[in-house]
Amino acid sequence: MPTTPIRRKITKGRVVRTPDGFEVGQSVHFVEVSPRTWIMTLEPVEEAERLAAALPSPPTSPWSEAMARVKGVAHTAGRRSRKAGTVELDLKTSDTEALAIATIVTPKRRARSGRAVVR
Amino acid sequence: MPWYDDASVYYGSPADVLAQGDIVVAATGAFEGDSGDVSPASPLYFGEERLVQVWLGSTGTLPEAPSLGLRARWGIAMVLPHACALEKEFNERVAALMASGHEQMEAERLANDDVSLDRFIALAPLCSYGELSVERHAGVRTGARLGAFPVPENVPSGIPPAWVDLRRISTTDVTLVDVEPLRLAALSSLAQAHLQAALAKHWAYRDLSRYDELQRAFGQRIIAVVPISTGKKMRVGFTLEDGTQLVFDAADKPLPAPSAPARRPRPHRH
Repeated sequence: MPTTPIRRKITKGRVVRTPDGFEVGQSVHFVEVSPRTWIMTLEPVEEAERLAAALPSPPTSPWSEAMARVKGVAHTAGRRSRKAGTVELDLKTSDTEALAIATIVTPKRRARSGRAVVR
Repeated sequence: MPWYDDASVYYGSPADVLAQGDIVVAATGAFEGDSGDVSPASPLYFGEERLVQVWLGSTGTLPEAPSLGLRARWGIAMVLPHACALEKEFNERVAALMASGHEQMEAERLANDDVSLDRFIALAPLCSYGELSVERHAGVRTGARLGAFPVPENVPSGIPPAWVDLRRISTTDVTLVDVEPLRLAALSSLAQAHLQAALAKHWAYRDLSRYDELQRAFGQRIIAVVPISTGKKMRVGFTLEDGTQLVFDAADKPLPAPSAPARRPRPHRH
Protein backbone atom coordinates (compact mmCIF):
# COMPACT_ATOMS: atom_id res chain seq x y z
CA MET A 1 0.00 0.00 0.00
CA PRO A 2 1.56 3.36 -0.97
CA THR A 3 2.31 5.60 1.94
CA THR A 4 1.10 9.19 1.89
CA PRO A 5 3.47 11.77 3.37
CA ILE A 6 1.96 13.16 6.54
CA ARG A 7 1.70 16.91 6.87
CA ARG A 8 1.95 17.52 10.59
CA LYS A 9 0.50 20.62 12.20
CA ILE A 10 2.83 22.99 14.00
CA THR A 11 1.45 25.75 16.20
CA LYS A 12 2.99 28.38 18.43
CA GLY A 13 2.44 28.51 22.16
CA ARG A 14 3.80 29.92 25.37
CA VAL A 15 4.75 28.11 28.55
CA VAL A 16 2.41 28.99 31.42
CA ARG A 17 3.52 26.30 33.83
CA THR A 18 6.94 24.81 34.15
CA PRO A 19 7.39 21.23 33.09
CA ASP A 20 10.98 19.96 33.24
CA GLY A 21 13.28 21.89 30.93
CA PHE A 22 10.98 24.88 30.35
CA GLU A 23 10.50 28.24 31.97
CA VAL A 24 7.39 30.38 32.27
CA GLY A 25 7.06 32.82 29.40
CA GLN A 26 9.19 30.90 26.90
CA SER A 27 7.95 30.67 23.30
CA VAL A 28 7.51 27.12 22.10
CA HIS A 29 6.27 25.21 19.09
CA PHE A 30 3.88 22.26 19.21
CA VAL A 31 4.32 19.47 16.66
CA GLU A 32 1.29 17.26 16.14
CA VAL A 33 2.07 13.57 16.48
CA SER A 34 -1.54 12.41 16.42
CA PRO A 35 -4.87 14.24 16.87
CA ARG A 36 -4.42 14.21 20.64
CA THR A 37 -0.66 14.03 21.04
CA TRP A 38 1.71 16.93 20.58
CA ILE A 39 5.41 17.42 21.16
CA MET A 40 6.39 20.75 22.72
CA THR A 41 9.76 22.10 21.66
CA LEU A 42 11.83 25.25 22.24
CA GLU A 43 13.33 24.90 18.76
CA PRO A 44 12.52 27.53 16.09
CA VAL A 45 9.82 26.71 13.57
CA GLU A 46 12.27 25.44 10.93
CA GLU A 47 13.74 22.97 13.38
CA ALA A 48 10.25 21.96 14.53
CA GLU A 49 9.34 21.24 10.91
CA ARG A 50 12.45 19.09 10.52
CA LEU A 51 11.49 17.29 13.72
CA ALA A 52 7.97 16.75 12.40
CA ALA A 53 9.28 15.35 9.12
CA ALA A 54 11.53 12.94 10.98
CA LEU A 55 8.75 11.45 13.09
CA PRO A 56 7.74 7.96 12.00
CA SER A 57 4.40 7.60 10.26
CA PRO A 58 1.65 5.96 12.31
CA PRO A 59 1.17 2.29 11.45
CA THR A 60 -1.39 1.54 8.76
CA SER A 61 -4.55 0.24 10.42
CA PRO A 62 -6.40 -2.73 8.93
CA TRP A 63 -9.57 -0.87 9.93
CA SER A 64 -8.79 2.36 8.07
CA GLU A 65 -11.25 1.62 5.24
CA ALA A 66 -14.08 0.88 7.68
CA MET A 67 -13.25 4.04 9.64
CA ALA A 68 -13.29 6.09 6.46
CA ARG A 69 -16.80 4.82 5.63
CA VAL A 70 -18.30 6.04 8.90
CA LYS A 71 -16.14 9.11 9.52
CA GLY A 72 -18.20 12.12 10.56
CA VAL A 73 -21.38 10.18 11.33
CA ALA A 74 -22.82 11.52 14.58
CA HIS A 75 -23.30 9.26 17.57
CA THR A 76 -26.91 8.70 18.52
CA ALA A 77 -28.25 7.90 21.92
CA GLY A 78 -31.43 6.18 22.89
CA ARG A 79 -33.31 2.99 22.50
CA ARG A 80 -33.31 1.18 19.16
CA SER A 81 -36.69 0.60 17.58
CA ARG A 82 -37.99 -2.94 17.48
CA LYS A 83 -40.84 -4.83 15.90
CA ALA A 84 -42.82 -7.51 17.64
CA GLY A 85 -42.23 -11.17 16.83
CA THR A 86 -43.28 -14.43 18.36
CA VAL A 87 -42.58 -14.93 22.03
CA GLU A 88 -39.97 -17.56 22.67
CA LEU A 89 -41.55 -19.77 25.29
CA ASP A 90 -39.61 -20.99 28.28
CA LEU A 91 -38.99 -24.69 27.87
CA LYS A 92 -37.87 -27.37 30.25
CA THR A 93 -35.07 -29.63 29.09
CA SER A 94 -35.42 -33.31 29.81
CA ASP A 95 -32.45 -35.45 30.80
CA THR A 96 -32.73 -37.17 27.44
CA GLU A 97 -32.59 -33.91 25.51
CA ALA A 98 -29.70 -32.66 27.61
CA LEU A 99 -27.73 -35.85 27.07
CA ALA A 100 -28.48 -35.79 23.37
CA ILE A 101 -27.06 -32.30 23.09
CA ALA A 102 -24.15 -32.74 25.48
CA THR A 103 -20.64 -33.79 24.63
CA ILE A 104 -19.29 -35.83 27.49
CA VAL A 105 -15.60 -35.00 27.66
CA THR A 106 -14.31 -37.15 30.48
CA PRO A 107 -15.85 -39.15 33.32
CA LYS A 108 -13.20 -37.87 35.75
CA ARG A 109 -13.20 -34.39 37.14
CA ARG A 110 -10.00 -32.64 37.92
CA ALA A 111 -9.52 -30.09 40.65
CA ARG A 112 -11.07 -26.68 40.06
CA SER A 113 -7.67 -25.17 39.46
CA GLY A 114 -7.14 -27.45 36.47
CA ARG A 115 -8.27 -26.53 33.00
CA ALA A 116 -10.44 -28.41 30.54
CA VAL A 117 -9.07 -30.29 27.60
CA VAL A 118 -8.02 -28.04 24.74
CA ARG A 119 -9.89 -29.15 21.63
CA MET B 1 -16.04 -21.07 -3.02
CA PRO B 2 -16.98 -22.03 0.56
CA TRP B 3 -19.04 -19.69 2.74
CA TYR B 4 -16.06 -18.31 4.64
CA ASP B 5 -14.27 -17.20 1.47
CA ASP B 6 -17.15 -15.82 -0.55
CA ALA B 7 -18.53 -12.46 0.55
CA SER B 8 -21.60 -12.89 -1.67
CA VAL B 9 -22.49 -16.06 0.26
CA TYR B 10 -21.36 -14.86 3.69
CA TYR B 11 -23.08 -11.46 3.79
CA GLY B 12 -26.82 -10.96 3.51
CA SER B 13 -29.51 -8.30 3.53
CA PRO B 14 -29.85 -6.48 6.85
CA ALA B 15 -33.05 -6.93 8.84
CA ASP B 16 -35.09 -3.94 9.98
CA VAL B 17 -33.88 -4.53 13.50
CA LEU B 18 -30.68 -5.77 15.09
CA ALA B 19 -30.05 -9.44 14.30
CA GLN B 20 -27.64 -12.23 15.14
CA GLY B 21 -24.38 -11.84 13.28
CA ASP B 22 -24.80 -8.13 12.56
CA ILE B 23 -21.44 -6.39 12.41
CA VAL B 24 -21.59 -3.13 14.31
CA VAL B 25 -19.36 -0.38 15.64
CA ALA B 26 -19.24 -0.87 19.40
CA ALA B 27 -17.15 -1.04 22.53
CA THR B 28 -16.19 -4.41 23.99
CA GLY B 29 -14.11 -5.20 27.02
CA ALA B 30 -12.62 -7.70 29.41
CA PHE B 31 -11.82 -7.33 33.08
CA GLU B 32 -8.19 -7.71 34.04
CA GLY B 33 -6.50 -7.89 37.39
CA ASP B 34 -4.23 -4.99 36.59
CA SER B 35 -5.22 -1.57 37.85
CA GLY B 36 -4.71 0.26 34.56
CA ASP B 37 -4.85 4.01 34.07
CA VAL B 38 -7.50 6.65 34.03
CA SER B 39 -8.25 7.38 30.39
CA PRO B 40 -10.45 10.43 29.92
CA ALA B 41 -10.19 10.68 26.13
CA SER B 42 -12.12 8.38 23.80
CA PRO B 43 -10.20 6.19 21.36
CA LEU B 44 -9.92 7.66 17.88
CA TYR B 45 -9.25 4.50 15.91
CA PHE B 46 -10.96 1.14 15.50
CA GLY B 47 -9.06 -1.61 17.23
CA GLU B 48 -7.68 0.79 19.86
CA GLU B 49 -7.60 -0.65 23.38
CA ARG B 50 -7.31 1.08 26.74
CA LEU B 51 -6.57 -0.59 30.04
CA VAL B 52 -8.58 1.60 32.39
CA GLN B 53 -8.82 1.42 36.13
CA VAL B 54 -12.20 0.33 37.45
CA TRP B 55 -11.33 0.40 41.14
CA LEU B 56 -8.36 0.11 43.43
CA GLY B 57 -8.18 -2.32 46.34
CA SER B 58 -6.58 -1.20 49.57
CA THR B 59 -6.60 -4.16 51.97
CA GLY B 60 -5.77 -7.06 49.67
CA THR B 61 -8.17 -9.26 51.60
CA LEU B 62 -11.77 -10.39 51.27
CA PRO B 63 -14.50 -9.27 51.39
CA GLU B 64 -13.02 -6.27 49.61
CA ALA B 65 -12.64 -6.80 45.87
CA PRO B 66 -9.13 -6.82 44.43
CA SER B 67 -7.88 -4.00 42.20
CA LEU B 68 -9.56 -4.28 38.87
CA GLY B 69 -8.90 -2.96 35.39
CA LEU B 70 -10.95 -3.10 32.23
CA ARG B 71 -9.31 -3.60 28.87
CA ALA B 72 -11.81 -1.71 26.74
CA ARG B 73 -11.67 -1.92 22.96
CA TRP B 74 -13.29 0.41 20.47
CA GLY B 75 -13.98 -0.95 17.05
CA ILE B 76 -16.04 -3.44 15.13
CA ALA B 77 -17.94 -6.25 16.85
CA MET B 78 -20.42 -8.99 16.04
CA VAL B 79 -23.87 -9.38 17.63
CA LEU B 80 -24.08 -12.90 19.04
CA PRO B 81 -27.56 -13.59 20.49
CA HIS B 82 -30.32 -15.05 18.38
CA ALA B 83 -33.29 -12.74 17.70
CA CYS B 84 -35.40 -14.75 20.17
CA ALA B 85 -32.96 -13.85 22.93
CA LEU B 86 -32.50 -10.26 21.75
CA GLU B 87 -36.22 -9.49 21.90
CA LYS B 88 -37.65 -11.93 24.46
CA GLU B 89 -38.86 -9.43 27.06
CA PHE B 90 -39.98 -7.00 24.36
CA ASN B 91 -42.12 -9.64 22.65
CA GLU B 92 -43.56 -10.74 25.99
CA ARG B 93 -44.55 -7.14 26.78
CA VAL B 94 -46.14 -6.65 23.35
CA ALA B 95 -48.12 -9.87 23.79
CA ALA B 96 -49.24 -8.81 27.27
CA LEU B 97 -50.28 -5.35 26.06
CA MET B 98 -52.23 -6.83 23.14
CA ALA B 99 -53.90 -9.29 25.51
CA SER B 100 -55.01 -6.32 27.59
CA GLY B 101 -56.69 -4.69 24.58
CA HIS B 102 -54.00 -2.59 22.85
CA GLU B 103 -53.60 -2.65 19.07
CA GLN B 104 -50.29 -4.11 17.90
CA MET B 105 -48.80 -0.76 16.76
CA GLU B 106 -49.70 0.85 20.06
CA ALA B 107 -48.36 -2.16 21.97
CA GLU B 108 -45.08 -1.97 20.01
CA ARG B 109 -44.80 1.77 20.70
CA LEU B 110 -45.34 1.29 24.42
CA ALA B 111 -42.90 -1.62 24.59
CA ASN B 112 -40.31 0.32 22.56
CA ASP B 113 -40.54 3.13 25.11
CA ASP B 114 -39.58 0.77 27.94
CA VAL B 115 -35.78 0.89 28.04
CA SER B 116 -35.60 -1.80 30.69
CA LEU B 117 -36.63 -4.58 28.30
CA ASP B 118 -33.84 -6.80 26.94
CA ARG B 119 -31.31 -4.31 28.19
CA PHE B 120 -28.15 -6.28 27.56
CA ILE B 121 -26.55 -7.62 24.43
CA ALA B 122 -23.55 -9.90 23.97
CA LEU B 123 -20.91 -8.77 21.51
CA ALA B 124 -17.54 -10.15 20.47
CA PRO B 125 -14.82 -8.03 18.88
CA LEU B 126 -13.62 -8.40 15.31
CA CYS B 127 -9.86 -8.80 15.29
CA SER B 128 -7.37 -8.47 12.45
CA TYR B 129 -5.20 -11.38 11.37
CA GLY B 130 -2.23 -9.34 12.53
CA GLU B 131 -3.39 -10.06 16.09
CA LEU B 132 -3.12 -13.81 15.50
CA SER B 133 -0.09 -16.05 15.14
CA VAL B 134 0.46 -17.09 11.54
CA GLU B 135 0.12 -20.82 12.17
CA ARG B 136 -3.48 -20.26 13.30
CA HIS B 137 -4.58 -18.22 10.31
CA ALA B 138 -5.76 -21.17 8.20
CA GLY B 139 -7.80 -22.77 11.00
CA VAL B 140 -9.50 -19.50 11.84
CA ARG B 141 -10.07 -18.42 8.24
CA THR B 142 -11.81 -21.71 7.39
CA GLY B 143 -13.96 -21.71 10.53
CA ALA B 144 -12.30 -24.84 11.87
CA ARG B 145 -10.77 -23.35 15.02
CA LEU B 146 -12.96 -23.39 18.12
CA GLY B 147 -13.33 -20.02 19.77
CA ALA B 148 -13.03 -18.06 16.55
CA PHE B 149 -15.39 -17.20 13.70
CA PRO B 150 -14.12 -16.02 10.33
CA VAL B 151 -15.16 -12.77 8.66
CA PRO B 152 -14.26 -12.34 4.98
CA GLU B 153 -13.56 -8.94 3.48
CA ASN B 154 -16.61 -6.76 2.90
CA VAL B 155 -15.65 -4.08 0.40
CA PRO B 156 -18.78 -1.87 0.67
CA SER B 157 -18.32 -1.40 4.43
CA GLY B 158 -14.51 -1.47 4.40
CA ILE B 159 -14.31 -4.50 6.70
CA PRO B 160 -10.97 -6.25 6.08
CA PRO B 161 -10.51 -10.03 6.31
CA ALA B 162 -10.96 -10.52 10.05
CA TRP B 163 -12.14 -12.93 12.72
CA VAL B 164 -14.43 -12.79 15.71
CA ASP B 165 -12.81 -13.66 19.03
CA LEU B 166 -15.47 -15.73 20.83
CA ARG B 167 -13.26 -15.84 23.94
CA ARG B 168 -13.74 -12.10 24.42
CA ILE B 169 -17.51 -11.89 24.49
CA SER B 170 -18.70 -8.96 26.54
CA THR B 171 -22.03 -7.56 27.68
CA THR B 172 -23.05 -4.11 26.55
CA ASP B 173 -26.05 -1.91 27.20
CA VAL B 174 -28.09 -2.28 24.05
CA THR B 175 -28.77 1.45 23.84
CA LEU B 176 -25.15 1.80 22.74
CA VAL B 177 -25.74 -0.40 19.70
CA ASP B 178 -28.20 0.64 17.04
CA VAL B 179 -28.70 -0.48 13.45
CA GLU B 180 -28.48 3.15 12.35
CA PRO B 181 -25.79 4.28 11.98
CA LEU B 182 -23.68 1.64 13.67
CA ARG B 183 -24.41 -1.49 11.63
CA LEU B 184 -21.85 -2.05 8.90
CA ALA B 185 -22.95 -5.43 7.56
CA ALA B 186 -25.32 -8.35 8.14
CA LEU B 187 -24.89 -12.09 7.68
CA SER B 188 -26.68 -14.42 5.30
CA SER B 189 -28.83 -17.23 6.72
CA LEU B 190 -26.05 -19.70 5.92
CA ALA B 191 -23.40 -17.66 7.74
CA GLN B 192 -25.80 -17.22 10.69
CA ALA B 193 -26.16 -21.01 10.83
CA HIS B 194 -22.37 -21.39 10.88
CA LEU B 195 -22.19 -18.75 13.63
CA GLN B 196 -24.72 -20.69 15.72
CA ALA B 197 -22.70 -23.88 15.21
CA ALA B 198 -19.51 -22.05 16.20
CA LEU B 199 -21.17 -20.71 19.35
CA ALA B 200 -22.51 -24.14 20.30
CA LYS B 201 -19.14 -25.76 19.72
CA HIS B 202 -17.25 -23.14 21.69
CA TRP B 203 -19.62 -22.50 24.60
CA ALA B 204 -20.94 -26.01 25.14
CA TYR B 205 -17.88 -27.87 23.87
CA ARG B 206 -20.40 -29.41 21.55
CA ASP B 207 -18.48 -31.53 19.08
CA LEU B 208 -20.95 -31.45 16.20
CA SER B 209 -18.57 -33.35 13.96
CA ARG B 210 -18.96 -36.50 16.05
CA TYR B 211 -22.71 -36.35 15.61
CA ASP B 212 -22.20 -35.94 11.88
CA GLU B 213 -19.73 -38.84 11.84
CA LEU B 214 -22.25 -41.06 13.59
CA GLN B 215 -24.94 -40.15 11.10
CA ARG B 216 -22.59 -40.85 8.21
CA ALA B 217 -21.70 -44.21 9.79
CA PHE B 218 -25.39 -45.09 10.13
CA GLY B 219 -26.14 -43.82 6.65
CA GLN B 220 -29.10 -41.73 7.76
CA ARG B 221 -30.20 -39.13 10.28
CA ILE B 222 -30.43 -39.93 13.97
CA ILE B 223 -33.79 -38.70 15.25
CA ALA B 224 -33.47 -39.78 18.90
CA VAL B 225 -30.76 -40.82 21.33
CA VAL B 226 -31.99 -42.39 24.57
CA PRO B 227 -29.82 -43.49 27.50
CA ILE B 228 -31.41 -46.81 28.52
CA SER B 229 -29.15 -47.33 31.47
CA THR B 230 -26.20 -45.44 32.84
CA GLY B 231 -23.54 -46.16 35.42
CA LYS B 232 -21.23 -49.16 35.16
CA LYS B 233 -23.12 -50.84 32.34
CA MET B 234 -24.02 -48.04 29.99
CA ARG B 235 -26.59 -48.77 27.29
CA VAL B 236 -27.77 -46.21 24.75
CA GLY B 237 -30.52 -46.52 22.17
CA PHE B 238 -30.47 -44.76 18.79
CA THR B 239 -33.55 -44.30 16.62
CA LEU B 240 -32.85 -43.65 12.95
CA GLU B 241 -34.97 -41.82 10.42
CA ASP B 242 -36.42 -45.00 8.89
CA GLY B 243 -37.46 -46.24 12.34
CA THR B 244 -34.51 -48.59 12.88
CA GLN B 245 -33.67 -49.01 16.58
CA LEU B 246 -30.04 -49.57 17.53
CA VAL B 247 -28.93 -50.35 21.08
CA PHE B 248 -25.30 -50.04 22.10
CA ASP B 249 -23.83 -51.61 25.23
CA ALA B 250 -20.65 -50.30 26.81
CA ALA B 251 -17.75 -52.75 26.56
CA ASP B 252 -16.87 -54.70 29.72
CA LYS B 253 -13.25 -53.68 29.37
CA PRO B 254 -13.26 -50.24 27.81
CA LEU B 255 -10.12 -48.84 26.31
CA PRO B 256 -8.38 -46.30 28.54
CA ALA B 257 -9.42 -42.76 27.76
CA PRO B 258 -6.70 -40.56 26.27
CA SER B 259 -5.06 -38.57 29.03
CA ALA B 260 -5.66 -34.85 29.01
CA PRO B 261 -2.74 -32.47 29.38
CA ALA B 262 -2.70 -31.05 32.90
CA ARG B 263 -2.21 -27.34 33.27
CA ARG B 264 -0.85 -25.58 36.32
CA PRO B 265 -3.18 -23.23 38.16
CA ARG B 266 -2.93 -19.72 36.82
CA PRO B 267 -0.98 -17.29 38.98
CA HIS B 268 -3.10 -15.16 41.23
CA ARG B 269 -2.96 -11.56 40.07
CA HIS B 270 -4.44 -9.44 42.80
